[in-house]
Amino acid sequence: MYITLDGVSRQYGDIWAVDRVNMGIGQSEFVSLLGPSGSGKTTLLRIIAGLEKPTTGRVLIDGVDVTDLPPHRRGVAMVFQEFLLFPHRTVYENLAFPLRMLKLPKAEIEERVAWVVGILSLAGLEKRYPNQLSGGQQQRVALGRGLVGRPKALLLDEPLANLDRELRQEMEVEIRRHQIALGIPFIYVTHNQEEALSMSDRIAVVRRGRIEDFAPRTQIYDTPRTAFIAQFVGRSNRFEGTLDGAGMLASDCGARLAVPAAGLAAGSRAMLFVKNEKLRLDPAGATPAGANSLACTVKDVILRGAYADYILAFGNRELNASRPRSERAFLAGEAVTASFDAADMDLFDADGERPS
Amino acid sequence: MKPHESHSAAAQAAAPASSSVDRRQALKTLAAGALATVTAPYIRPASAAPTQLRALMWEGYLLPDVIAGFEEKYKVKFAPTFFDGNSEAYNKLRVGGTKDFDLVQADGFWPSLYFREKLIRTVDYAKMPSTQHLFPVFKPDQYKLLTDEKTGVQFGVPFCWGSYGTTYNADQVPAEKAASIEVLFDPEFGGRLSTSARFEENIALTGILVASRMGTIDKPRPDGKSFNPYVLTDAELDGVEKLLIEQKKLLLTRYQDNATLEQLLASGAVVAAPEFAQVYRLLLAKKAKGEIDTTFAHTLVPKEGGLGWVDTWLVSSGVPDGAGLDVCQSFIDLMTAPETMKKIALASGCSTTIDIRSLSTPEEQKLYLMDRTGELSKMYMFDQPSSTEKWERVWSRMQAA
Amino acid sequence: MKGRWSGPLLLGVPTAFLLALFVLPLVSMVVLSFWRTENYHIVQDWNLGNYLTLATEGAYVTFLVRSLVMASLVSVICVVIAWPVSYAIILYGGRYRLLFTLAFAVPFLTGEVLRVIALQGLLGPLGLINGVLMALGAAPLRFIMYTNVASAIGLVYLYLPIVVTVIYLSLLNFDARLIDAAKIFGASPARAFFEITWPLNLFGTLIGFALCFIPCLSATLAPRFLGGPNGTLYGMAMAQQFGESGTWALGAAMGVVLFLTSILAVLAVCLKVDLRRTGFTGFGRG
Repeated sequence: MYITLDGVSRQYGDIWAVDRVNMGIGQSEFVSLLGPSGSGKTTLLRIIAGLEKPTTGRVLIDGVDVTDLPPHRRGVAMVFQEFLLFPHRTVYENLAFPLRMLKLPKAEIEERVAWVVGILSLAGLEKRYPNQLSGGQQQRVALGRGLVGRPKALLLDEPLANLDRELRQEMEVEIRRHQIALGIPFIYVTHNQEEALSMSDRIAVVRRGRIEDFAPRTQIYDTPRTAFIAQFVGRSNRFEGTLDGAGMLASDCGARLAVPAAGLAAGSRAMLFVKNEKLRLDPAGATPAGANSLACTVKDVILRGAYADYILAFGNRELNASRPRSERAFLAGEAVTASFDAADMDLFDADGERPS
Repeated sequence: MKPHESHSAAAQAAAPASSSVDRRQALKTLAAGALATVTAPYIRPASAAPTQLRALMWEGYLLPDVIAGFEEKYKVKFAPTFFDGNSEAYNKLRVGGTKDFDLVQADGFWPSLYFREKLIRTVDYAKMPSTQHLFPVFKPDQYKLLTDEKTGVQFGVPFCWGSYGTTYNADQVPAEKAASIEVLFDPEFGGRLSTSARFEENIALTGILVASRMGTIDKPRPDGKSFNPYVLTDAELDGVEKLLIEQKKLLLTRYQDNATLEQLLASGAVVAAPEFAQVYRLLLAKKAKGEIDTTFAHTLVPKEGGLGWVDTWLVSSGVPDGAGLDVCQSFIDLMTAPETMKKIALASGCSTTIDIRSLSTPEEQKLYLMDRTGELSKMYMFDQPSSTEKWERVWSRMQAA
Repeated sequence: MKGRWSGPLLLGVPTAFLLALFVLPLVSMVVLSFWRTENYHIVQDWNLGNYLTLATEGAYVTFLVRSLVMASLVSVICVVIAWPVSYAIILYGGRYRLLFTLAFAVPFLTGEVLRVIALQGLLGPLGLINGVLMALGAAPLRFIMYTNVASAIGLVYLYLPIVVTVIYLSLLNFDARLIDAAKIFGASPARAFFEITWPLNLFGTLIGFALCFIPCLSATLAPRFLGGPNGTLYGMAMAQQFGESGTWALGAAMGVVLFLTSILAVLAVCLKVDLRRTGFTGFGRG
């Protein structure tokens, strides 16, 4: 592996902000560290950067143990959430900064800055100061400053959090394109699952300083390894209840649901997640498509463009379904049958683990 | 405007307003009252009994317990402001100070200057019985500097007196050397001399030396009067400047206050310095207590001549006849009472103009020169420099040299 | 009240304030400087005599040069001391930061006179330093007794708290994560300091410098109590004109010269320093 984290932990007072993390990241891999705020993902990134020292464990980059190296000797670059452009330097000088630190000849600096100005469409802004730029322009300069030194890895700490949605989606595509073009690992910290899903090769879900799972993005989304991931990634309906001997779950909300065969004993508590888009809707009375069916009433319809979100009343609780607009539309107040297959469910034991 | 009157007027107006409950009237009264309250401290009444007695004085004469008793008896607050030199006090008075101060202190010729310029007013010795205890040389018939030549009325009361003699470390400086002003310019004592920071006395004292060296001290003077070290010719001033510049190398520092000089002398860092004999007396008291064992002596009048001063209490011209003047005179009377003067002598180390021999031991009588008041006539009284501009230039050139 | 008039009214307050407390005294000083005095009397005839005296009489030029050298030295020393002190408070002060800052303000609560006199006690022939030296059998330090060195020590002591406070505030306002950014992009800690921390706090440092330099230029007390016979500085000489010799007009002219010198010094610094290069936008951070 190109970057290896070997049993990395970081303690602050009594709290383990990063707890025994082992990770291997390949060259030219795009990895996201996804987790809620305070989960330790930024600390982990700062440990890789060298801005924090791990309490225990080692960090290896390109085969070299860099655990004790200060940040400026690690050869990695970083893009910060607040951009952190040098306010007293022009765009050109900000971009040239890493190259000057590398003591490159002036001609090469000019050439490389010109290259980065070109790929990030910053032409004409070179003489401006950061506070004379829009948020998107600042973000591009920050990204350019990260790329210009051809680092061994680029670390991105929620770089898009301060941008508006449209700009963010544009930048997601662009960042991914540059990563592919440069062929270096990008390690991308975010709490936004959409960003993680849209760009990453693999996603590491971070929770309470630990890596909950580190897997290809489809796997993280389609077969979450823990209840936490199922809850955190994608939008799901959650059922809790007790298993009976017949492979059925008696949910606390009053549904009886057929569950996939699993190594869970009868009478044990279990959690079950069904993604919103797996919940199919049919008019009440029609034969439901899935094995499990629940009689609901449409409470509200939220139009999302290509699809519609339905808020359904089932007994005392709400369920959420997301259906393409190409399907039959339902109106608020309509009685519907929501159904899904056992295969579309993710079942977890009371500890939130997937039963083996 | 007489704000205290307006203040009471507002108070009177407030009474009917509160009974008639006329809102507008009440508001008006309130506003007037507030205005009067705000302005009252800044504008003084012309005739009302004062609530404050403001003095511009030397700090060394402050006796907190005596003043507390006075405040208690006359129901006034005593508010002193201190100054370091006559010209500073004079400056303060000239720029509106007569409205800011009731009592003023000055010495030598300065009171007559103040009176000519209407900065101070006449006083009545009959209202101040303590003046009967003045030594004969300070009574108005002998001491002319506090009496208006035209009317014969007094405008000040003598308080303490002294010289600007040389206090020296008798273990280090022989008496015959200390008897001359030359000692302050003697390279033998280089780095161990000190003078005050006051430009007038430094120049005047050096002026006496220069004039006696040049022989101009007993020659006819350009102004036809006898020699006055505060009226120096340009040639003499040139000599003073040269001498002061030479002296600079020999000085450890120019002391800013008596406490500093006392420390410097007591520690032996300084062996001779001109001063008002106050430090000298403090040092003798210390020696008597066994705190130091160096012997100090004081040359009252150097052989070339010396400077002398009589501190006086004056009443500012801003004080009108009546209650205001009465309080001022009562204060002066208290301060010049023999019992108070005894305390002042001990606290400040000054000789008194009031005869307190009956209250003093023979040693005190000697120490405070109570039998030597006659020597005052041999001294040149503190005065205003003939040209402060010229003197200032001499002083600045010396400082920059 | 609201709307049309509130703006001018609100701006009127600082304007009136400036007029009453700054412009009027300055104007009266300028007027006085073109008059003359004669034995404690102001003579109101317009003349340039005071300025002529200041220009031709070497003494006053000497005072000014002495003061300029003294103020520059003291300000540089203060900045050099204040930087590590403020930096240490920021880095290691933790939750006691505020306490440290307040502690630095404590000397302001006592008067300047008191502080100078305390220092006189410390540096004088009987002072703590020489007392200890002599008790140890060593010779007393002549150069700290009533010399310009003593004045300089006094001035550093008087104005260091201001400089520390100003630089501390500048550092507090400074986004220290920019240092992280610099390090990530290859700057060693020392390089990061000179590339980022120093330039971005240069403006604050200059304010600290000026807040030390300008009062040092007009210092009166420290040279008077500590400076000794050769320690007369411009401010002290100027104070003599007002306090003792009654040569107010000359003193006023000295004041005008001092004011112009201060302005020139500040202007020179402003012209030398490109505020943009200190990250200063004039509109706060961002």
